[in-house]
Amino acid sequence: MDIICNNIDYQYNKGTKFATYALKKVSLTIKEGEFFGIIGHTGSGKSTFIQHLNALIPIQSGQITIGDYNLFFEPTKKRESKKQKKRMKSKLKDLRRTVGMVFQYPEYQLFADTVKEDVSFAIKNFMPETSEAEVEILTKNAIEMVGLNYFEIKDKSPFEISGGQKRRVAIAGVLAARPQILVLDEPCAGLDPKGKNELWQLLHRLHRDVIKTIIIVSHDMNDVANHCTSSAIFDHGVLKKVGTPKQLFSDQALITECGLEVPVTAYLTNELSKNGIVLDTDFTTDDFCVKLANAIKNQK
Amino acid sequence: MLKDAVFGQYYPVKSPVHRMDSFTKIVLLIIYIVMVFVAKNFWGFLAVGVFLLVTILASKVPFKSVARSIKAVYFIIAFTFIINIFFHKEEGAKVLWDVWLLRNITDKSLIYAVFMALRFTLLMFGSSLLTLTSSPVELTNGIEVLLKPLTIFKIPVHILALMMSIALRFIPTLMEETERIINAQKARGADFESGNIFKRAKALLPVLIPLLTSALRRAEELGDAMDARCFSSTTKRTKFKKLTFSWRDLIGLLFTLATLSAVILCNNFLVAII
Ligand SMILES: Nc1ncnc2c1ncn2[C@@H]1O[C@H](COP(=O)(O)OP(=O)(O)OP(=O)(O)O)[C@@H](O)[C@H]1O
Ligand SMILES: [Mg+2]
Repeated sequence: MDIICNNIDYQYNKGTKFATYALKKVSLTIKEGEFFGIIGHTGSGKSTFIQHLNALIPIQSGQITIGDYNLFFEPTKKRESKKQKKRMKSKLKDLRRTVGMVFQYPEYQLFADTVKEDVSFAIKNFMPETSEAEVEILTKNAIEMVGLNYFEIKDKSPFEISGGQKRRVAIAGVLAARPQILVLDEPCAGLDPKGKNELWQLLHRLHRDVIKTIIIVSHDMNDVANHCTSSAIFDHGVLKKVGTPKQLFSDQALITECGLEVPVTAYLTNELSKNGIVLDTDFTTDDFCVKLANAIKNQK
Repeated sequence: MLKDAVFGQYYPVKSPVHRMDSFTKIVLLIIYIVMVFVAKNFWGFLAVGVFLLVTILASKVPFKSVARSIKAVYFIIAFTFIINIFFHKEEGAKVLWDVWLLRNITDKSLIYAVFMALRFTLLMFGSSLLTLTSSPVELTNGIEVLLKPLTIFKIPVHILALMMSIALRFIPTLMEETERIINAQKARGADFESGNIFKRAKALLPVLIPLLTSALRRAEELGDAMDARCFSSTTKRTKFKKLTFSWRDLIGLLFTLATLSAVILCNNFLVAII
């Protein structure tokens, strides 16, 4: 299921004195199977963009196609038949089930008495007809998917587990509905290096096994270089460039212009080339090390 | 959007009225309210109307924004109008209509009802002009000065003012938080719009609980931050922005007092003319 965005414009507080452009003419295609990174400095419109993908923000102009779903600007009609409304609503639910969204600091949306109940929230909303036994199976799967022990944690209160566990539970709460596309807004914010590493491993596992497309907003260029198959750079609401990390980070001028820094590997590659060592690397740490080692061996 | 409901009020432009001291503005509003209730005849209301018009023009707030304030209370205005027109009794009143639904409507009751409706309207316009031209923080400062005399009765005015400004400070934050949590739960399929009232109230739980926990967390953090900066409620605090009485305030005060005298004058000496 590809995501095709066409000419998306968005203004907050449209039509008032406080109107601000958050997105300007954004056209972007995200292919099925990608591990897609979205980067840009603070306030560049990343969060605004991803919230378009499951219609949490209604489109103001342009259109988005996700598989069978077509999103476009619809003026709010005062009189809509009940049937029409119901159909719209069920379509919206389908879309939100297909495109799972994990917000920044997702642990702040936990609310239920037990972890089990919280994780099953999405299942009960999206699939009200599911039997209790099935709900339990789905919940168990989701909790195990994020690497937690179901029987240990299911009856605990979501407020008494550790921060890293909370975040996993919150992600499990989105995974429970079996989305095909998973969108995460800065999932690593506030995690320690170990927790971060584990989270990346978890995401790769999900990408391999259950989720087709992962879209991730990140502030850490090293992470993007290491993990994403391709990414998009936003700057003041404008989509500046789309490409593989290799394509993006070779253009150091563009990255700096957007108020970002290139990953360490790209910086070192650039410095080395000034000193006569030219590496052809894709800027992942592994590849960089291998290429550098080769270069050193060859010189000897 | 939720935010507009509370902060749609303040209209941020630069104007002499905006730059006036908020304490003076509150005092002037009180005088204005007195004026509106003192006015007894057409000329008095005309003077108040002119005063309001001049102030609105000087404040550079579009008339539309001021007029919007009446939306919330137009029902009350209509209600008092109807009550007064039917039930206001006065000596020597001429009956205008006494047919069908219009029973016992006299010239005096009609005039009285019109004036009453006018008073409400003028009141709403005037007070909304205060909130349109002063930010919530400025208002709190003004109110603190206004309530200063109560310290004689051992009422901790500065703490009340602090509480108020903290509450105001956190309204937009909590609004944003609410919107974020609502979106997050919507993404998990929450539906806040269908079902009967009980269903809807129950659907709000996944929003209210995280909101409450985050408010408590913020309160705790704020308390710690204040402690870390050695805040103490018993020592005397100095102000970063001092309220000052400038020439703008003087002009405003003189203008208001002039209008007040004009209204009183109209009441006592112009009665004969109309
Ligand atoms: N609720 C809102 N009301 C008004 N303006 C908003 C709102 N949310 C965001 N904006 C504005 O829209 C622009 C884009 O915001 P957005 O949250 O999409 O940025 P972002 O790239 O996600 O930033 P960050 O990296 O800090 O999360 C910013 O200029 C911001 O000030
Ligand atoms: Mg963001």
